[in-house]
Amino acid sequence: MKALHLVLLPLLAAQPCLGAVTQDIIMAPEGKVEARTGPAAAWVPVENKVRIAAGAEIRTGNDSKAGVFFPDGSRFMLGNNTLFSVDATGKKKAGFQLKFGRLKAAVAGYFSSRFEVRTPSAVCAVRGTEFDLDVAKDGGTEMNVSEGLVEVNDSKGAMAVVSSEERIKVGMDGMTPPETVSLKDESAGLAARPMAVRQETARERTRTMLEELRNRELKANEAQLGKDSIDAFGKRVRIEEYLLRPSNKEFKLLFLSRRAEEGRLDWGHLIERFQNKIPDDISQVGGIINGMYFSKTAPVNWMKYFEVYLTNTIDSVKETIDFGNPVSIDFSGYGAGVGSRYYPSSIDYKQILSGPGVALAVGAGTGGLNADERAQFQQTQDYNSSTAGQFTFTQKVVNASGALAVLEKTTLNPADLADVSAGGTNITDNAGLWGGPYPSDPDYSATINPVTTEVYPSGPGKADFMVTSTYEDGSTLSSRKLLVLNDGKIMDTTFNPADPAGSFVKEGSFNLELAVTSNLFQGRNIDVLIAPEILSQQKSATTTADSFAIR
Amino acid sequence: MKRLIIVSLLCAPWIADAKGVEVTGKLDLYGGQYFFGSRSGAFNGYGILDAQLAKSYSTSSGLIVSARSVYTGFKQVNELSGGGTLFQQSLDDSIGAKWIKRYEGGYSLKPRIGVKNELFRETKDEKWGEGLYDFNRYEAGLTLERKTRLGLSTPWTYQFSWDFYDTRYTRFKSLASQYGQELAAPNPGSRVLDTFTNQFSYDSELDLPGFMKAEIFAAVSLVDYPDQRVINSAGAYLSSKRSDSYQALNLGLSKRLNDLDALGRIRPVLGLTAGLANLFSNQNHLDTDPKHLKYIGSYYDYLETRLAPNAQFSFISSGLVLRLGYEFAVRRYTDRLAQKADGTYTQSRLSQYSSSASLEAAYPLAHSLDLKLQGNWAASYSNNRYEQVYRYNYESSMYFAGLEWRF
Repeated sequence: MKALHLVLLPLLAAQPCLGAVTQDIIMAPEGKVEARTGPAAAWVPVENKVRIAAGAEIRTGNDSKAGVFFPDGSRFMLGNNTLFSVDATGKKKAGFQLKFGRLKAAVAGYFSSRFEVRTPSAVCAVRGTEFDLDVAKDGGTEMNVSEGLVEVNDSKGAMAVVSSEERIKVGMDGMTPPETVSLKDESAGLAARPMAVRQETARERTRTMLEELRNRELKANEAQLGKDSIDAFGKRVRIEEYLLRPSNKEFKLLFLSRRAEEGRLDWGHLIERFQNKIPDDISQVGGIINGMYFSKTAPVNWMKYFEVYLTNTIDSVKETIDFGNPVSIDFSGYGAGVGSRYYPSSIDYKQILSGPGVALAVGAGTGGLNADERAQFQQTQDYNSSTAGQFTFTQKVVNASGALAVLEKTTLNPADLADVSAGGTNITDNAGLWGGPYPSDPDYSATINPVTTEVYPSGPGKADFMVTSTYEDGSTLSSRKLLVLNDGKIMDTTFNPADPAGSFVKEGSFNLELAVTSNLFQGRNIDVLIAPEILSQQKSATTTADSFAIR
Repeated sequence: MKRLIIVSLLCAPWIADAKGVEVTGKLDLYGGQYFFGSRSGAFNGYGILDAQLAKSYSTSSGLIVSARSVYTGFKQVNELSGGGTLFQQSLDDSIGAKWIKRYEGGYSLKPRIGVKNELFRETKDEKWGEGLYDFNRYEAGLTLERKTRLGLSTPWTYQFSWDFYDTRYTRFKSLASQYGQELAAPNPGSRVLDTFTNQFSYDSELDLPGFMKAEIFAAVSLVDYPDQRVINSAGAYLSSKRSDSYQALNLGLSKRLNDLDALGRIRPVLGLTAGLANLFSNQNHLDTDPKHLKYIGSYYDYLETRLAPNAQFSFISSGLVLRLGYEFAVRRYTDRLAQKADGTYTQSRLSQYSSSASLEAAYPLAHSLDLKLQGNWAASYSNNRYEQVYRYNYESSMYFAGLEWRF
């Protein structure tokens, strides 16, 4: 018998398992056990394990028991004084009868499609279950389900699914409702038994999954709002943008780029200040700006000041534009039907560098600027102020002495068709744009004209454009603009050699990385990620009359 | 805590059963690859070590200690759409304890506590423990369970649960709060992602006749952001804090059919899950992009429906188990507007349609050891064409293969 136990142990220990199911059923007797192959056959004592098949009957005597083992790991343990029979062992249906006595079952559920145990009063369809079945001599059936589910039908057509720790009694006159067993009952399971633990863990995981999804969604929301990106150099950048309203006439857009790995913050702002109150809905501001240029009627509001400021918290570059009040100007030189239109009386653009290195440069702190600031470039245009009845355009750059000096000066009479067609009248041409130096200009190029180079560091077709100006005092200013996808990949762009920088603005739907450096920044640079539309606004604001198409 | 969990998980199978401690769990190890559109991630993998240590003191009381450690070497699909690189590693460690107290009549009370730590590496030079979205979550909960019957035929178990989650993003502070003073920035709050969640849920399971099972799950989650201020249409941050209310209702039904007499007998189980969820939030959004400045109230509010049929086929003779799943979901934002490709706002509300199909095959190599193959395809479509920072329209797929050991 010990040997039999050793053989059976792996079966008893087996969990529900699907591996290589055959239809062999083995019966292992213990004590006085008899079996026969069918109702007509004679009972024979069984002392060793035997295969049993459909039609077989097993009966146990006093102090005896028998195990019935299935190839899928299922097992029946028959108690003493039990009569049990095998009705069917097919793949579609396996049927057994407990005519009287006790049966303790652990059913994996894979032996057959339908697994049933019949008693004189009940049919128990088993799903994957541990249960005890008692059948009295009068056919009355009592079943305790330890774990799993059993579907029980009585002779009256009633049906109940009985679950773990439930008990049902089925008599010849029908079933009583299943009852939950008392915790004091010997058939009650332990509080933290494996199946209960598995169910409890699964339910808790379902509830916690909601919080997990929320955590993920928070992260996704940050991405949707563009707050987390990779720059063109592979660095993780957090981006935040804020809209501030210092007064009802202006707004300020603040943008921050933080690279935690490098411990650096780059930030900047865009300020737009207007003559009068602007709407709460800032999106209407674009219409106010458009109304400043070439309006047939006097604008009721217009921009007074525009500023873009970028800094790495030590060095900075600031571009400012001051606008004069709109005045009525005769633009008939642009076409007979154009007539008088309103246009800013002056536009004054400045580019100002600052920082500890800038403070050491010649010319720092002049022109009303702070001691660590220097104006590197200035472009002004005015109407009627410098030249009566005409626009005067003046570009100034830092010269060899570190002071702003005139690079180009042009006048334009907007009422004169010939002058407009010629692009105005050049007064000073130190950059040689008008076919050579103006004869009266003694400062041509040698001490004023900066050398400007344009390169495409990532090659043609990539949105990576860098302009470097080397001024005559040796100072440099380099501005690199990159359009980057969120993974830091530099965007492919339809490259227009005629307007390389413009093609960046036209794309307009990716992060713009703006890297600015100067040899006055002592080896540092400014590197911010911003919405490219900021650049677009700057471009609109600095557009001059000679580049506008008047409609 | 991470070491404690790993050590305890590794030791779990060997903790002496003689002490009355039941140990169950599993170890999964997988390798595979993700594809997002035309981009493919490097071959990577994930591992899950999951263990429950249960101690019953009697039929009425017991203790469950759960520990879980998950390493993921790639991004989930919903994270891929957020841009950034395909590279991401995450390490998720959690441990919890639950006391089970059962009473006569099928009643149980189950208080619990737990803590979770999740770490992310999102660029290759980012060190563990320095991820922007690293977080700790402290949990507590109480479940009242009743095991009873619905009529004569059907066992019915239902639970009312309260769960509390205190989530703290240890390294995430708004930039404005860090630098605001020197920049004269507004004050959106500092720990803007930290949340307190009180979740009340109802879970009901019915074992119906005919090998059918029905499940109803309903939850209301009140999520407070104690340090995230509400923004108004002028871009100003108010003193009131963000507060969300999330409601979810899921209905599931599954049925085991008769075995199919093919390929050595196949046991099919078919299921269908339907879900409805919505979010109400008092938070708004101001798009500060100068080209299309736009204020959108109730920016986060949405209604979501989902339908997910699934099927499982168990091949009795070989032991192979095949699981197929499909899910279709529609999320409609109630106030968020869809944008054109250039960012211009349309008048249409943003809608997102997502569908996914999954396949999993498990083949038993030995007792409690399965070889597993997983494949998934997912697609998302939206009327939002603005994808500067987030992909709303994409396809992704993945395959993984590995082993699962249950103990």
